[in-house]
Amino acid sequence: MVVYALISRQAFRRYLTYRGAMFGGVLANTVFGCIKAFIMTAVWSQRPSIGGYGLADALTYVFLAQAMIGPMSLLVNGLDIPARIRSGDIGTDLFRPVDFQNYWLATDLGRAAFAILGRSIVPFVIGALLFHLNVPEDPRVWAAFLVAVFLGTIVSFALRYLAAMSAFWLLDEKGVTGLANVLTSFFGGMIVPLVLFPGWLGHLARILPWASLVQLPADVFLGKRTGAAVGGAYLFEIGWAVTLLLAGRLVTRRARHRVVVQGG
Amino acid sequence: MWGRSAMQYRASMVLTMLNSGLTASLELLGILVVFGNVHSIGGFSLPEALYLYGTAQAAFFTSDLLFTGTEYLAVRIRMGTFDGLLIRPVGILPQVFADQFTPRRLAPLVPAYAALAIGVAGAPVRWTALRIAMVPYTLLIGVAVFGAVWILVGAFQIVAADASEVMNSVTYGGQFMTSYPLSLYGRNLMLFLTFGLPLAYVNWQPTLYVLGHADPLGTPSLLRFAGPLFAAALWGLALLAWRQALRHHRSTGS
Repeated sequence: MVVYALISRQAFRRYLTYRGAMFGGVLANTVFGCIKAFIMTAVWSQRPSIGGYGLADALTYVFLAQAMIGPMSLLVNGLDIPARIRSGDIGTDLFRPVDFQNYWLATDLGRAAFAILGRSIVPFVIGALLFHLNVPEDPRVWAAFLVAVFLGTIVSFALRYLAAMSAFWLLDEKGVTGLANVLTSFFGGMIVPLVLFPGWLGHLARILPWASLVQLPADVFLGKRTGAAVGGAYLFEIGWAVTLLLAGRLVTRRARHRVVVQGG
Repeated sequence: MWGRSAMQYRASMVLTMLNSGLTASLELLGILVVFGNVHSIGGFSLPEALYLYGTAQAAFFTSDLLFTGTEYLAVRIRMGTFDGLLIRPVGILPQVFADQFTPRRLAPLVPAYAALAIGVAGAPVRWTALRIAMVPYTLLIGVAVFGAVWILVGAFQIVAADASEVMNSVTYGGQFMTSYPLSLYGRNLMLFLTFGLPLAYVNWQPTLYVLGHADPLGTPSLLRFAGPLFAAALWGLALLAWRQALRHHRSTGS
């Protein structure tokens, strides 16, 4: 465990050096959050409640979604696996005395921890200053929310890991990771909140793994899920995390047999 | 040349092209999902909103096709490969525009023009000759305005290569903003977009005329046709910024 904590810390420090990119990300998340908030205001001005969400809930959702873009890497794959496969560095990674998949999970959690501090807080606070958001006062709700975000980040990693691993077979992973990002945008509720999805599409979106990313943490944050329903959300996230991580494990085993390390 | 290089990995190119098209199509689907809940946004019905959306997206992605090479300047500056472009006996701006071109950028034009076509067919407009002519005119001015923005992006990247992501808020933010009625964003922002950073002329101002809406700002109707003036001014400014940035550029000497 200690070694994974150290790996996470290294990743955290690595991303600390990219401050220009961080600032650009904060600005973009804030700007896009504001534009989306204006659009949602126009939508909710005609119907005070959609799918159990009032205007303040919808605006809060918008800024939560923007805040999750960094830690859950919702728009880009964010894993270096394909680049390391092309350069051959992946040989080193496979040789490390730690589990390959857990190594990348630890790296990604370190990156996510940095992103929460560096990219999530500022856009959300600015959103809360400019718009009327629904922010919980009960610290227990905040704690429950953070657990849901943590589990959601693992689901996000498991999905991105599967997409990135395609590079073992394809070398150029952009097609697959791009498709995965598109699915995340849509079913993760980044283009339109899932509460606006009509009937069957809404039901479908709510059982797919992408619901773990923004929708479930947002439901907990907004108090739409309390008590046992929070546990239900956790179980849903854990179920998908375990399923997808196991799939990743299977893929990793097959990928190991494909690797030919040149020279050295 | 960049197109040919992208064609070398045909499977990957086809997939990324499909992705770009799919992304843009799902954004379009997003609008339909929103309109599944309400009948109008900011006083725009679905076909009207699609017209507005289509003009913004078509203009943006056409400008993306022509000018977006400026987005990759930061990498070139950091790697020192920008100097390679500077010493070639061809104009520097056209080289930068064509940098990293890929046919993938054609794909999002499909849903963009589809939205525009549905908008034109469905919007309750009495099509006069002038209104019809305003459609290609809107796209032309839209491409010009976004083109100037791309040049500003390039100038910014030369000066501040480490903070190149900052400009995403202007380019992609501008694309997103102009896809919806500007009236959603409140009076102050509308004033800024009309007289400051003139993104209102990408599609909003001419569309007000085409669809027969009044400007919530109450501006004179002459402004609906003022796009070329604002676009020219923005180009002047962008080219000036570009020249200054080039002068500022210090090679890493690699």
